[in-house]
Amino acid sequence: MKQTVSLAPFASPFAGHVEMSKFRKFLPPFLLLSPSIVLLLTFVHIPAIHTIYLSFFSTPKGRRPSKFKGLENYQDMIADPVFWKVLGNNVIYAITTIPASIIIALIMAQLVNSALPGRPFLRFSFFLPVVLPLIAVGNIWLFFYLPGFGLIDQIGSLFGLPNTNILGSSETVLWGIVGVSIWKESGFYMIFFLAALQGIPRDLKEAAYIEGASNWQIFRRITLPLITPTILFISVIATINAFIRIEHLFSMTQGGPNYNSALLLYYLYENAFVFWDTAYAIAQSVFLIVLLSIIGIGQIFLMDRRVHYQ
Amino acid sequence: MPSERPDWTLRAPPKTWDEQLEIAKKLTVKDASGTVTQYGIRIPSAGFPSWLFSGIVYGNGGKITNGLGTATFIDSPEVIDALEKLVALSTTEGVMRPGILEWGATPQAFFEGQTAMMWTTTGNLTNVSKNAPFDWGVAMLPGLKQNGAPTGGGNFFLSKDLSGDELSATIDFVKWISAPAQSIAWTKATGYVSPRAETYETAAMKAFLAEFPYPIIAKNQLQYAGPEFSTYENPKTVGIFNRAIEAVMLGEKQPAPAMKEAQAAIEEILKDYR
Amino acid sequence: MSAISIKKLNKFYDSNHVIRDASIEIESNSFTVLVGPSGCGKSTILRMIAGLEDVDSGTISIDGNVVNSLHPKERGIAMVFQSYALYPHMTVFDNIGFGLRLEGQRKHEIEAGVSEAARILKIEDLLDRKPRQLSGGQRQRVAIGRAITRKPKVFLFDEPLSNLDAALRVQMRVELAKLHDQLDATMLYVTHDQTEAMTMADKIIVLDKGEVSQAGAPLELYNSPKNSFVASFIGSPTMNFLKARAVAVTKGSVTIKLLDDLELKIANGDTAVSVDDELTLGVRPENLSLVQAPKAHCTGKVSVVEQLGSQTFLYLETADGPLILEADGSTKIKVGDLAPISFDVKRCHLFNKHHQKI
Ligand SMILES: Nc1ncnc2c1ncn2[C@@H]1O[C@H](COP(=O)(O)OP(=O)(O)OP(=O)(O)O)[C@@H](O)[C@H]1O
Ligand SMILES: [Mg+2]
Repeated sequence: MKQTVSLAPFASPFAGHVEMSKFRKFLPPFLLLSPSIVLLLTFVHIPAIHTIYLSFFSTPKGRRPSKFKGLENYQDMIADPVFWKVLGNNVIYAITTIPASIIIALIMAQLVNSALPGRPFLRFSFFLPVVLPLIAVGNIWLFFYLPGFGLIDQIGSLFGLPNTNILGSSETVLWGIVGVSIWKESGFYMIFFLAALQGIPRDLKEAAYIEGASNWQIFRRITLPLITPTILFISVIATINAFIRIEHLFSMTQGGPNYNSALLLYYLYENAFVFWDTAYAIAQSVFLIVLLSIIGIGQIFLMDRRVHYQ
Repeated sequence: MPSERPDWTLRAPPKTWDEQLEIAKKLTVKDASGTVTQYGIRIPSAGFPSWLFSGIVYGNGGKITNGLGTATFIDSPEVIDALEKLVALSTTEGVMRPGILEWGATPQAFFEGQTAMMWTTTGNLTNVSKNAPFDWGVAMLPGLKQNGAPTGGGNFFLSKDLSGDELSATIDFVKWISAPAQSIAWTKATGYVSPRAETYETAAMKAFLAEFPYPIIAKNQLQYAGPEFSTYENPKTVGIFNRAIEAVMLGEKQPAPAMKEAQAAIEEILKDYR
Repeated sequence: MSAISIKKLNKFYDSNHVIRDASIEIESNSFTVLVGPSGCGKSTILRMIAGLEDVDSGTISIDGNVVNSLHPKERGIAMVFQSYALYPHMTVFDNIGFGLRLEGQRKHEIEAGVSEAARILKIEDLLDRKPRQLSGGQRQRVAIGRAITRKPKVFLFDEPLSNLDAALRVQMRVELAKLHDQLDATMLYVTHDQTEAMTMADKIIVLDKGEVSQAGAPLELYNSPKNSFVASFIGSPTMNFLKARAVAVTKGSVTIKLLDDLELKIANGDTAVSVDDELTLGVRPENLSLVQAPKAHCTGKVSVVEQLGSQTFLYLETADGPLILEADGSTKIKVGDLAPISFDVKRCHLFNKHHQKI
């Protein structure tokens, strides 16, 4: 942009010439960018704007075509108790899974990064959940959770604990889903932390060690500040994931019983592709896009000041 | 159909809801600490509890829809009463595991002795006959006032745009797939009821039933069965019904208000179609 | 008393024996330089003294106490790393004060300690910066400042100047020497640069493949290397080596014959030598001189002339092998000329086939 500053602030006899050279200056970068601009416009921005536009219309049904409804879809959304319920579920889901999986991932990364015996095995077992599709993970955990003869009840019965019906009661079903998500996501985030930890020069820790820092102090004062960019990156990813990764709901609970484990996107899916109430689903999509944008931007903005970029 | 564990002296299966409850109580076993190790009965409810529940409603002399898809009666006394009786099994009576119960795990629970009786789909019959490690039996669903059962199954749809060769080929296919030869194999493999009555007149089916008579019980029960819940915008309406039943089974709501709310919500959708 | 006393130190990395029976004495308040080629184990020894590596056998004592199993912070040492190892997320102030903070010192004590170090190193105006905003030399100073604040008895430096450019290196060498006078502490300094070793050290320890090859004052090593390794390592350009054979042995001297039958009589020490032994003659460039033809021992053809101003190095091809000769800065000799050469036989060294000085 700096080059354009040289444009004279008065009407120059060479104005046409300057315009020409400005155009020449911009043309090559624009041409180079154009493939990605076209792709982004076609597949991201135009659909997003179109979605917002569609959210003001009703769902076409049978012989009744779609008609303009203004904000009615949004009013329906606000009046829908199920919407608030799944939004609440999603908030609980996010504020539990995100910190838990990040903390566990960091602990696992530290373990794997230290000189423990059996490191390759640890690395493999922590990473295993990552390579499994979430829908399959859901299936595996379905068996863990089975009342009476599932893994959890079998272990529990060794200690004389009563049987559970984790996915069959309203108080526990969401926690069952939360557990699966933490198990699945932690291994994934561990990879990023591991890369970040290995990027910290060994000298730094040794210098601190010689200066008398305990392991905890080294972690708290050296390691943690140096991996804040990774923590920020992961928390953005984790927040988005908490709102968009719902495959396990399909294999485990279908959002039930009575929406107790339904998340926003699952309810959106149900409205769109089970109830075929597309207009309502579109309004929810707009809500989800806005929500995620606010969260993402806010997170980066908020943490930027405390993040140390090397 | 209820199936029963054998380790009990009453060899006759329950015919009525009251008999079922009485037997279920006898078959509910607790250990020293008071924890239940074997429940008397299990009626699966995950995902679509309205299906088996409609059988209880029919057994209570009730109806759930008007058959035209334009009205439901789920706030009727028969429906509410049926729901109260169902929920009571796991609450006041304590003969069924509380909470929502998985379909897939239900036969497993039966084999493992976690429940003495179970309601389940006819499609599980062959599975049970192959895997139950004990003697067992099949009976019609015990009704509150009379016999009653839900119906299920899938449909073949013929598009109105079909014509000529395509139409006749489609009809041929539907005829073929439902013909006795295919149906018998289907019934043998799963336990499901064969869709055409003539299948039961064939020698092959008679020979099979002579050896393994249980599939006939489901077929005979059909005379007491009512239609499956079906209305305009069915996914939405049946969803409302299912979620309402779940809410009651989870203890989140009482039967009467839950059913009244659900009926009102469905009314709101169906009123446009009358 | 020795500040650091190392006895029969051994270290293995798996089956790789990297430190072999090393015994080292480092006097209190000395500036001792540990020197040797890359991979010879200098850093390993330093890290074992610091407590960053375990000792496999042998003992390390600091001020008379065996520290083998002590935590680094209990050893009274500070270490300056080659990479500086400054904490990138902390300001210079926090970097320097980190150790004090860990000790639980109060704010004003930390401030006093940091400004004292900053004053000594003249970095008072850098205290608010982050390491990435500093030049190499400034980073180096901060790293040293960090070592100073905890007032250790022993400073360990691991090639602290190797990331600096030549001019800055010379300047920092002088400053480190000054700092040593000022601080009244023992400094152990690792380098693979013999110039650094020669200019800075009170005492040099030459390490060869994990073994102590020779230890002593810089000139002692320069003038009386115990073996050809030390002889070749110390001094720049390096010592010339020529193949030779003993032809006559008398008490106190050996007569040798070079490849072109040139005979030289050279004083020897105590190591046994007999006629016909294969030997190596070592002679430094400054102990060769250009002379008038009649006085010359041999002649060499000049292949390279390196003019440094005050002196000139001539690279010569002779019948006895290649030689580097240090001549006057004003010499007129050119590439291709034939140079008559004379050996200063009093300054020649003889090494046997085990590379030991005889
Ligand atoms: N962590 C390690 N694991 C295995 N071998 C190692 C390790 N650290 C050093 N070594 C080996 O030990 C030997 C000595 O290494 P050291 O780092 O002490 O050399 P150095 O003298 O400091 O060399 P440089 O001048 O290149 O720094 C080398 O052969 C090196 O390959
Ligand atoms: Mg080194």
